Amino acid sequence: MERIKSDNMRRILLVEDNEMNRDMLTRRLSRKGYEVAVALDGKQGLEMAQTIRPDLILMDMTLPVLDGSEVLKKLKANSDTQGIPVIALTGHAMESDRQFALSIGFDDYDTKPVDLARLLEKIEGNLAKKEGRS
Amino acid sequence: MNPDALRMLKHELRTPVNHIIGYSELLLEAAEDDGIDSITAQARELHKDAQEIAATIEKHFLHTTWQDVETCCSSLWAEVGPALRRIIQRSHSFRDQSSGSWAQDFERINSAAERLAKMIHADYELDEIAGGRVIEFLLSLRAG
Repeated sequence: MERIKSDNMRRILLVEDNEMNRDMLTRRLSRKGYEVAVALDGKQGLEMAQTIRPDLILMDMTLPVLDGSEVLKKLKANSDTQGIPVIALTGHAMESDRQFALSIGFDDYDTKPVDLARLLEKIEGNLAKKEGRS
Repeated sequence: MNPDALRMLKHELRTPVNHIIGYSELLLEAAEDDGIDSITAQARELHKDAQEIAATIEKHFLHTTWQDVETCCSSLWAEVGPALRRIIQRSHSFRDQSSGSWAQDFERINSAAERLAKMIHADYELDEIAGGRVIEFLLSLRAG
């Protein structure tokens, strides 16, 4: 479990099992002013979501221990975490993958390699929606 | 080719390419912010080649069938080999020219590029690790 801490920042929980993807995204999001907490598998992601209550979750769909779709189901079934926007991240870029992610309840979807500008738009859009700013 | 196997194969190949793209973008962002022109130029070269490889992989597997997978992988090497070799050589050289986190990120790009080369090309040299893993992976799926 790794954390980059700071106060007065938007807190994002990144659930990603690939070390390089985790390192890259954590550093790029931190450079943009977000506090980033990192979980290495689905079970840890679920536990951290309940503990730290992030403003938003970025989650790889294919995860060890507990798959992304299972984590999502548990997050949305829990009144403490159901309001947290969850963006699915995947290396699969087919339209059917996007449709599947949205159909099972992910709030948004993006593909790897991450287009940072596009991902930031989605993060801010979902944060605004959560806070009733849109 | 079996659609699930094709999907997995492309995912396996894309992962190291995504690492090269991601780390070169990270280097670009940091170097531009810090005004280090030499790193910016080096990261741009790596990023351009990685984008070319990503597009080639995508295009290459559009019409692949189970029957021609071995041929497909060797012809993929013919298409991506030059750009991949450039990335390996340049990232190695840029790593030696830099220090600290810059050097670490060039090293990560180098290791991702070597991993991709070993996946595609059975004879890719450097150490005793067996190459051609993509072909082995597909053959095992077909056998299963």
